[in-house]
Amino acid sequence: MPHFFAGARNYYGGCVSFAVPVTLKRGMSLVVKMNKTTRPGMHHNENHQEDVELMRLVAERDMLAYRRLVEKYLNRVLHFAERILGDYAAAEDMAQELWIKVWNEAPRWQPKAKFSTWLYQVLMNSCIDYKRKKRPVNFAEIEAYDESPGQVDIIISRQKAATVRDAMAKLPERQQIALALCYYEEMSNQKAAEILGVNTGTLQQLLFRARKNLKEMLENNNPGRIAI
Amino acid sequence: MKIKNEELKELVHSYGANLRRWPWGLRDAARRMLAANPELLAEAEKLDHRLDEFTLVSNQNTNTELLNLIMQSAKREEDKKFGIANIMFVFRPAWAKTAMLLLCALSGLFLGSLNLVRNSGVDMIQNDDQEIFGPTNVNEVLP
Repeated sequence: MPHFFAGARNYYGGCVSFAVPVTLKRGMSLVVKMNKTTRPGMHHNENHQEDVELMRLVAERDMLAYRRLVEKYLNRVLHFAERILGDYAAAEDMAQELWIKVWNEAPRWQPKAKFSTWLYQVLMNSCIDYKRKKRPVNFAEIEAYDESPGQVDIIISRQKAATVRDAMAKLPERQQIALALCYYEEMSNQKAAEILGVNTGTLQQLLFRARKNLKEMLENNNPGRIAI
Repeated sequence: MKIKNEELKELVHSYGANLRRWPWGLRDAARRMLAANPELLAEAEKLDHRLDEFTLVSNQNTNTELLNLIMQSAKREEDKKFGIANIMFVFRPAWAKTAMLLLCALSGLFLGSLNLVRNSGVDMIQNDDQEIFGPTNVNEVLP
């Protein structure tokens, strides 16, 4: 029975080691041992070697390797897509489309860049395409709240979230993506720059403008003029 | 690494108050300098706090159902590839296209040869006779 097991991990900095026993299709078993040094701010479960190995197995049509890969990145993919699209249902559709692309592209995928970087690039482009094609979501239509007394706190927090989401949706695409990657995903600036296809200086400018625009919008509670 | 005051201001307004989001090499210097600039830090913290209000629906949901849907989609994609119509597309190299062209050419030759057989032999001789002697009626000639 093929199985995956990610061993003990230490997420609090220092050396992390874990083993990934992978049972291959032909009954051969392979244990990928990995050691890496994590840094604060780096995604803790990010491991390039493990991803390369999993993608190699996915290319051989190993469903369990695919499941492991999806499980590893699904939450992050959903969070990022929801931040950019501002809609959970759309984020779910986007995630499904993305993973079909991963499945179909796996035999041709080359580990030139990190798998996670490639994944975010594909996701980012899909989100941009989706936003350009689809009509803007009318959030007022889909948010009918139950205004019973116990729900007041929930309503308030949802309204606050909606204010920030609407302000973010008004940002230019690249500023929005830069903020989602660096602020919400807490990605390193090198990796975020690589995904966006810019240098770290440009990324910093994008972040600066994004925060400046958001600050103005949230303080004045109107979109005003957006610095591009 | 040393940071100038102007740079610090720009960095705080780019990366926010939490040093976890800052570039790795700037954190130590920034920590020292921000301790001396509490108002700058407070300003960035205020915006961070507003940004943190953007909570996600995907944070509250378990994604088991979606995971299963994704796995089913992959299985469907795989099944599609083994459909008869898609067999040629599984093997995409140039020889597949060449084979396809060759098959078309052979089919053409075969159909062409069928047409030749139909027009050959008695039919063709009769046609030639008709052109030379005009239409003939076999019953008139024979006693």
